[in-house]
Amino acid sequence: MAQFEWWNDERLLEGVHDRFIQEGFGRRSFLKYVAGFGGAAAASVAALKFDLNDALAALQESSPAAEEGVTNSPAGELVVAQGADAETLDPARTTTRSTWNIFCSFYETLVKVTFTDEGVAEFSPGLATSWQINEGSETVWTVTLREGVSFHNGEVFNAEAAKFTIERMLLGGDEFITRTYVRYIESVEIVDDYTLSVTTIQPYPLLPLDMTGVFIVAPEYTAATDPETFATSPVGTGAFKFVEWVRDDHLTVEANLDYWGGPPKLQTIRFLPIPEGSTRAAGLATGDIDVSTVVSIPDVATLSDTPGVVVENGPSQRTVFMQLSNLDPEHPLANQSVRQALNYAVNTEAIIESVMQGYATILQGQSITPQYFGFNPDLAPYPYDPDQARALLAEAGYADGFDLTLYTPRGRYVFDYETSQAVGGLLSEVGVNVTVEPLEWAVFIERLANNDLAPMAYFGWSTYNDGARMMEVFSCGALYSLVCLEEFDEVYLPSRATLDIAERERLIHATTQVQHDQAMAIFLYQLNNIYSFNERVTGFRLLPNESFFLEGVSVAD
Amino acid sequence: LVRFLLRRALQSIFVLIGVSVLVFVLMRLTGDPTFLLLPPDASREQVDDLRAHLGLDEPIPIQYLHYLKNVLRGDFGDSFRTGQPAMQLVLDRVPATLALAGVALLITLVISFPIGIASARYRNTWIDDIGRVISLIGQAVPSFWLGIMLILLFAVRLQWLPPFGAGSPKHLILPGITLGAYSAAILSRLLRSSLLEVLGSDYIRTARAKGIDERSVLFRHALRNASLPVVTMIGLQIGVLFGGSVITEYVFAYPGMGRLVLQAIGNRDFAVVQAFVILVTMMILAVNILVDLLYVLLDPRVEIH
Repeated sequence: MAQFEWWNDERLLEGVHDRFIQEGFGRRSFLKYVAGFGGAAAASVAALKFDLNDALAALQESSPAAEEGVTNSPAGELVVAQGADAETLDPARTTTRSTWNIFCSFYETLVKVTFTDEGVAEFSPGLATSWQINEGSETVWTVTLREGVSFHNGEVFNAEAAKFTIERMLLGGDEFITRTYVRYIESVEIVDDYTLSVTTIQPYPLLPLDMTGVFIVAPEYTAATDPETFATSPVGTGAFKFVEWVRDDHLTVEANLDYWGGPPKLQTIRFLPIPEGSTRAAGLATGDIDVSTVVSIPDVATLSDTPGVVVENGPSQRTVFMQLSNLDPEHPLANQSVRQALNYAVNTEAIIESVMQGYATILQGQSITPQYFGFNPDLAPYPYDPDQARALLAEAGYADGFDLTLYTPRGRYVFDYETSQAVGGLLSEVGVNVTVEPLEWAVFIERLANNDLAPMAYFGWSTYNDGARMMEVFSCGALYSLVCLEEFDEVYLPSRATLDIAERERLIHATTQVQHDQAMAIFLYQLNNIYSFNERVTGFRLLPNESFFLEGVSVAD
Repeated sequence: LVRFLLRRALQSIFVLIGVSVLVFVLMRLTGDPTFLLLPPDASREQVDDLRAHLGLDEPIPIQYLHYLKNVLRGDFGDSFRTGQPAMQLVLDRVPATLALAGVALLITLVISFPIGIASARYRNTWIDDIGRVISLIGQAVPSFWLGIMLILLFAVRLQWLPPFGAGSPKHLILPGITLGAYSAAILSRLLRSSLLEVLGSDYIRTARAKGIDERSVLFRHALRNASLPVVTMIGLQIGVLFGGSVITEYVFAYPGMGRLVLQAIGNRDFAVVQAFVILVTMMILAVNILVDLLYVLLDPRVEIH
């Protein structure tokens, strides 16, 4: 690890990786997919999509053993090391990825985010099998639920359970921080045992996205259990059942033989929280752990040389850019040419090569990547052209340059401070004297929320796989935004309130265009996720949003 | 003696209040946990709601009075992150950290006494040189690095010991060495210089003149008198061991309270940090009182007023 800010457990979830994502394939399949939600194309959504887990399940079903009637019973133990432990097992009270990854073994969401082999996001049925906006309505959705599902304690999953879960998040109290994901829901009505009618407060195309954050809890159990017990002994519908949890030591789950998708392949999984990267690497080498979900760049070489250990990397949907604040009209950065000049002055390819050691992919002149709905394939990165930068600065009246402070977290994301220093160095070559000021994460995020990090700040941003969500941080008055352009909001705001898919894509393209032309940020790179596992593990994949599913994973003896 | 204890107890209460105010205010001045708790797409309104829910919207002095009132009733507040009572979270980890600190102390003593005594006995010989080099290394090496090196050697290469975790005595050895190394180095140097001072004194010369053999001069006469500063230092090192456990527990993924508080500081989980600081302060105050009492046993000249 380059830094000693080891308390930032989440940094350990920030990813790093490879460049095959560049090609931007498969965006179309995501589109088709999203089209399903709009209800415009009521064609079978399920038929259009490819779900890794379904495919694996299908494979399993059609395997000779299954045909011969031999049950493929779960076997073996998988040990998964993450950087941090679960914070609580109450799914309404946390949104950290490492905790959600554990949740995915015993809880299930209404909608699942899965990814194609090319790393393109898709929605797959979870406990909901379909979700469509009602004909002629802009705000009322019909959600059909999966039948024949029961909770680990025997309760039956039905519309009542889904409604209970959503209302608990929505009305339960301010400590239920996942309210963020249901805040556009006005009401939930039960139509029949397996059908819900969901009304949103405004036309809201992102409802399916939000439903990927709704982990369904068992209503009777939840109501009858005190919050403290509930937060340590979860009852869900997932492929694994909770066994025990010793905080910061281990959390164990075992196969749920009655799982609606058929029993999983593993008998038990142990999740270990191991904060230090070198220790996780040592655990892989000794065989004490099977999977490490985060590998730091300095450990890659060692692990690659370790026999029996596989190191892989893939695109992360987290993107890194330096937002350029225009909030102060007197400041040089309020001038569009100056902001463009700063983009011309930064040699991003060189930063990726030297600072990130190749484990990053250059952004295409916008803050979103091909993983996101709305990625604009017509944009390209600003070329590295210091002469052009100097010319633009001179034109704007800053031929002698000016002073600038760049605020950056340190140790929160992979090589964040180092990247900021490199950017500062490159800018000083065109006469802009940059002071790089590192801040501890808690301080950084608080000052960011108070608009106190202007004129320039490092962003390592990631959210749901939709441009309309990811662009929020560039809109006027958003919690973490340092910029405000009317021109941007004119296309951004409709992009999250339009149900028509094609129109919505056009709007997000327009936001990326404004973002690019106005140079609202210095666009740098997209991180890679690097992860590692023992070669006895089959089927493990860390997805671009740093999540993983374990139903289809197996281990050899 | 009773009066002494009473007075020390009273002093301790003031120390506790002072420490709690300091931690309370410092934590609140350096970061707001609401932004760390909520997802990046939360609304400003939700931030305000949550802050009010956590009681962070009031002025700090008012917050402290609320806190003090609750503490007097035995309620140290709930963790923002886990929703569980903060003191309970910390107390759950005490046995693990005590076990680790105990092993580290044992290792400290086992290493430092032989080295310190041998260095003093054979001063300015090669034995002394080796002893001094070992203590210098022990003091200079960061425990972070030492821990990782020990894992690589004993867990990865030799496969004698587990690389991380807890649950068996074997799990305590590597973190124990990592944690104890610094204290052992300090103690052996202190013991050496303290012994040398005593060995040069008149009564030792007298003892030797009487023909008492060197062994019992060293162990019965010199060591007992030389151990006074050492006992003080051991008392101080217990505090160091608690502090050092933070890094050691992190490296070895050991579920102790150091690691808990490290996460709590990063998350600005105020109640947990406060409960930890108060608990550790109480422990250290207790150890100090104990050390003072030990003086009386070791040195008849010391009296308690």
